[in-house]
Amino acid sequence: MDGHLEELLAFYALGGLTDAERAQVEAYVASNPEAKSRLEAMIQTTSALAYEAAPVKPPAALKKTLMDRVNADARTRSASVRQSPAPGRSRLLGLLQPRAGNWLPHAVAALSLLVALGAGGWALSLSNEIARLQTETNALRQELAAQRRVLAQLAAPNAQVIAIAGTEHQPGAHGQLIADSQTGSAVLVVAGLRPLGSGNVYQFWLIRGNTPVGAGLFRVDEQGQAILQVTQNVTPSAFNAIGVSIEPEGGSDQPTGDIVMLGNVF
Amino acid sequence: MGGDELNDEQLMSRVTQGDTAALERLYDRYSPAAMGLALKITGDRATAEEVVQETFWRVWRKAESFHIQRGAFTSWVFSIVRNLSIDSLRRRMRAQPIGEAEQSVDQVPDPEADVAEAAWLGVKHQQVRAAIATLPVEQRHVIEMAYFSGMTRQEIAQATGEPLGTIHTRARLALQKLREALLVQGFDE
Repeated sequence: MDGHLEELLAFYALGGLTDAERAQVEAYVASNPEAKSRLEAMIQTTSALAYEAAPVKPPAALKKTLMDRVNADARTRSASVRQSPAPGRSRLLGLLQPRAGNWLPHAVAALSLLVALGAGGWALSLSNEIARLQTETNALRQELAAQRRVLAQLAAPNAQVIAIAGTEHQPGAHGQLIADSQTGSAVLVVAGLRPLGSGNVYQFWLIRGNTPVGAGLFRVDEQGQAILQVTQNVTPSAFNAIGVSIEPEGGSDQPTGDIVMLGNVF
Repeated sequence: MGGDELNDEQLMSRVTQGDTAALERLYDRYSPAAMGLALKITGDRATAEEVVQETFWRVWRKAESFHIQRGAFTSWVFSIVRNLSIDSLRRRMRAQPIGEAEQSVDQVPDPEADVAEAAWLGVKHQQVRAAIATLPVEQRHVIEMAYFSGMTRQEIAQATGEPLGTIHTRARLALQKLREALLVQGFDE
């Protein structure tokens, strides 16, 4: 029996530990069935404390709002199941898979090119080609890192996925904001946006009431795809909509160009 | 609750399969307790309503993460309510020292609540209050500061001026005594 960790059990049950302390307790009880049993009894006792507060019936409108949201979600799920088992993820993976598969051809091409150039003694060409490949490799590394961030975000226990769709300006655009409500980190994944000319960028907005807050700038590739690590701390319950607009290079304090994507946070 | 009613775990099993009526039933059953808890912690009705809505939304969206072997449904759902409420409270208290955050909301049972549900929750409320009343005042304070005010053990030690070891002992004894008192009261989770 670990005296220090035993002392923490009651506060674990009462929710009065730091994250690190909680992790220590969880590791302790995982290998100590007796301690686990003691902790479960404490948690059961603690959950009774909720009844200490006098029950208060929430307003009827609250239930209606919740059930409208739930029923809409149930319809969406039902429609999604008819189309594919997991449309959100499969669409995302659809974005990712072709890119992941591009590594091998790039690597083979690079190697072949290096051998050919080396045999011919084209030193200048070789140097240029190496520079080009390094640039391409760096770009692919960045892309892979972005994709890993998305996958990590999806795997987070508190991951919340919010859909965003193209407006009349770019109806073919679609995407998802994947937010971890516990850590506040979020990633925006978009596809179907038109590549912009120089001098313009896409800007992502979190909208609280009528107030948009800039949450990152991005450009899309030739396929209209992009992954943005959102720069603002995202708590989905703290805002009611998300959007994307076209802004001058460097971004704006408020949307000034066309709003090309919008999504509601229910 | 009537004998032919589905229990919480049976309802959760249906929620997992996308049964919205099962979620509605759980909402009817526990939203008053959830609202009461959120209101007691946050001291703000609008915030408490947001907490309740988000809690049952999570019950819907994260139903798969509920496992009966890990504890009763009420432990799970009330932990969501408490955590959301404490998070909200902490956000509000950033400019206010934790020790001064005494929450006092005059809560009166809602007369419009469903009679059977209200009676059922009312009995539990009285049982728990009676059980808590058996605790020595210093043990009760530790429980209240930790559970309802979201204070860590270090913060409680600082606020009370007592050594950390004393706070640990009070918390442990309080839960032991509370468990016994709940049994005496006939409290059934």
